[in-house]
Amino acid sequence: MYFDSLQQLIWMNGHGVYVWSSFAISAVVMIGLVVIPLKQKQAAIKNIELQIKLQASQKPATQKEVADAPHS
Amino acid sequence: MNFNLQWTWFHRLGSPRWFYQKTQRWLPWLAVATFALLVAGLVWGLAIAPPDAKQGNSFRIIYLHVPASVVALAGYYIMAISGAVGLIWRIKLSFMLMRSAAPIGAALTFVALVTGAIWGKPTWGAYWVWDARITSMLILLFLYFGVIALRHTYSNNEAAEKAGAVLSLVGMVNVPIIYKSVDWWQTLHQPATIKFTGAPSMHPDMFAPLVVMIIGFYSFYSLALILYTRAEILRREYRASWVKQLVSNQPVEK
Repeated sequence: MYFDSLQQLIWMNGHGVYVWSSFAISAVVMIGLVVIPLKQKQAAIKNIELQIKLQASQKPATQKEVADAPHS
Repeated sequence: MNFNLQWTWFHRLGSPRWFYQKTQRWLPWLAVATFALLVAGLVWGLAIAPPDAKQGNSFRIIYLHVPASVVALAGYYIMAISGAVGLIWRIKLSFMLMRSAAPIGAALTFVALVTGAIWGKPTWGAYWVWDARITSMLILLFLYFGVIALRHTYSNNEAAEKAGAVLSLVGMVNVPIIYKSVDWWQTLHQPATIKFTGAPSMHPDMFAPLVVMIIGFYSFYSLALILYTRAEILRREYRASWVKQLVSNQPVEK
């Protein structure tokens, strides 16, 4: 390591604030670029699940179900 | 007949389903490689490499600024070429790639601009100057924003895709201008560290971690592009039977 101590690594002779803030901003943006598409994917899956459920509930009754239904 | 055989790979490549299933297997490896490269590059660059003789420790911002800029520019080509392929061969997947590339490129351009501004303060004494390199990079950010915005301005999806592709292709003019801006104009921005011809203007001890970071950022870009495209595929192909089977956890037939 170039620096003698952890404090020096953080301080960087007065340049630490510039270097570490650049690091923090890049890290936040890059984590966002992974988290956002994963959330979008989850939302899309939920949507499709809902659609499948809706379709299943709207399916016309089968012949057997009609035969079994109590006559009115 | 022969012609058909030669082109099957091309059409398979254009199938969203094929892309979704293939990338499923690649993702874990790509994620591990990206993480390892970025951690190694950062520890090497921020803690081990020696400081710059003139700029001191502030030069370490280079390990974020240069990789983000390089990939933001390369990402523009990827977006524009995907758009062109979509326009020419009407391949759905390549429009999906184009759309996915836009937010990633915008975010990386933003990182390049912000880290550049922070680096400017201790080096030039100002966060922002209207210098050719910085201004052309700002235009790149707006071009990315334009492609993102075009998606929502048309009610017709196909028209929106075509408009996005045309804008990305027209905006491609800006990319070589950004590369060459430090040579064409008298700028405050320092000339390129890495050159296509000739040796880098940097000591090997400082250059090696930069190379690791650039490879790491490319790897990160592929990861993000795949993740965004997979989400886009599910959103767009919700009617496809393979997507329904996938969601309801049934085995997807080959």
